[in-house]
Amino acid sequence: MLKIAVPKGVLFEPSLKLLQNCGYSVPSDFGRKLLIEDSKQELSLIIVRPFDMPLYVEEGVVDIAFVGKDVIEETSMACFELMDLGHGLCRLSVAVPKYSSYRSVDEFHPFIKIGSKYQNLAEKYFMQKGMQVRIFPLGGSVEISPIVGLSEAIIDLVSTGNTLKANNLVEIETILLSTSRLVANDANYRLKRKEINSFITKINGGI
Amino acid sequence: MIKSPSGSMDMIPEEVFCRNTIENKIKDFWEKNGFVRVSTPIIEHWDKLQVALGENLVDKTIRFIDRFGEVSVLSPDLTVSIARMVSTRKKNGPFPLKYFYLGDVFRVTSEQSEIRQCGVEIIGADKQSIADVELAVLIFMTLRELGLNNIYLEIGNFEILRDLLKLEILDDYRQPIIDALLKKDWVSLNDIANKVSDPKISEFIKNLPKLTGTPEEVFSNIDLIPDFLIPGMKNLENISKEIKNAGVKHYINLALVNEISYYTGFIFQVFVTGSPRSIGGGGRYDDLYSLFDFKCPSSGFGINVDKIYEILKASYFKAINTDVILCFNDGIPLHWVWNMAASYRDQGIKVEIDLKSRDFEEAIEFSKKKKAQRMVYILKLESSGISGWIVDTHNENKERMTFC
Repeated sequence: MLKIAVPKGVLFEPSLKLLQNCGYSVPSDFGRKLLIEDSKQELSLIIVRPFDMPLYVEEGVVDIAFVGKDVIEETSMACFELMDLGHGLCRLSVAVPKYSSYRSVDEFHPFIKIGSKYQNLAEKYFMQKGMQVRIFPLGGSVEISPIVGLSEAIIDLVSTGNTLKANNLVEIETILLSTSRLVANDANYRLKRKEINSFITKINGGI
Repeated sequence: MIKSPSGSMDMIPEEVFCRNTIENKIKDFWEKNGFVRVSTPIIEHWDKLQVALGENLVDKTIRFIDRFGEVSVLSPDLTVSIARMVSTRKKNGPFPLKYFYLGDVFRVTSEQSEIRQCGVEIIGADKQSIADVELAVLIFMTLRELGLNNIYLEIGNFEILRDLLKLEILDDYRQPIIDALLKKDWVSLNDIANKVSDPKISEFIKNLPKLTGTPEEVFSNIDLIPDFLIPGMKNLENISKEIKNAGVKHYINLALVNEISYYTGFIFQVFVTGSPRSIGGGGRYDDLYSLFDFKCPSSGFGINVDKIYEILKASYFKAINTDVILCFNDGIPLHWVWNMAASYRDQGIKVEIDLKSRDFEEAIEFSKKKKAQRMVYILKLESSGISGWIVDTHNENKERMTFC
């Protein structure tokens, strides 16, 4: 039986839908359960927070996972990145308050304060630009940080842009485009190659 | 409480015993195969290593300035140290040299910084492709000897990728292709391939991840390989045939690369059930010795002993015990205690002398805790020697004893 991790949040529904399209009989609603098997007992699914995904995959607790490219890049996740599933398109962007005088990253003053959940990608981005900034690592609700004065800009994932709009923020630059990826554990991809390959073939047919 | 420094670990006697058992099995097996042990220092010169290791590994090294003002490094890899040693002290052979090593290497990773590693080197063989076969078979047999199940041996030929990347049309994509292969990022590899103008080359790069599987599956897809890469493919096929003839099941992976950059040709990796990552691997590195002004073909492999220990510790675990605990009453002249312990040891019996004052009952309890088979309690000094009790700790039967 293949062990698969599905992330909580925006990628949850499209991931399950894809499995259903590929002929796997998985329920759309897990209720409060975090582990479930499909009715033919081909798959065992677990629900995991997106940023916990690298741990589950790298330690081989699951064979396969659906995970956003943003998480793969932020955590330098060590795994096979097998397929771009195309769904869950969003972008990692730099945003500033509407009233801010900044309209481009190049205008940022040295040591400008940035709030982000993506500390590593933010650091890499500014380093490549040769800019020194202060990054405040946040766990969530990043949009509040410039409003209350903790930061002057944020780096966060944007899909529709509604949350930014609601909090009077504007996007000024895109760092990364992210979609959902199908990944596999390094060793399990080899040790369960037949099972995993036939799963990939089915997924290929379902996209 | 103070833990061991980040990335390192302490080992209590039971754990050391268990790891030693594993290491001794490996040592015995390699000696049986004609390999002899060498040892190199834990610090190494940085300048040569830097060239040999490759960017990814260089970032993980622990470097410092030594007392001569030179940069030294805690050895992150023993193959390079052995190359230095051979180029200095064994230049005259007799070749081939078949060496093995067992030691600690230092690489800063999220998991650990001090890694127990063992491995073998075949240096200066004329029939180097036979050496490659011997190594692939040996790594498989070593793991089987240890009792590991479901061993997945994967082989490739780095020559194929190297020749591919020499193409002028790939000038702009060389590093991105290597990065994608190292990260096993097939999505990016596909994106890069789409930008390559030559359709056959583009198609081959796209298909690299698919050129994985049993030898039959991969070698039957030879039409996917551009003509100029066929010789490298044939070399790999010949090695694969010989490995198969030796009775070793294996798989082919043309996209196999290693973060260590000194590999030049045949390359392999092993996976076993119980470890989420590769537990060992190696290959051929014909250019490594020229770093030390010594032209000499060589190949080898390394195995992560810590990973094997993690998988096997439950089956190799054994409580540490001694045969005899020797306790003695206050006032017994010490030379009698030493003499008595020596008389047991002369018979090959393990004796521990108890250095705490205990009465007879407490001494029995202590011996039980230490899992000793017998407890000897020296009670008093007689005119002719000493006397006391010998107690069987299992049933507490006691017997009078005298020693003169």
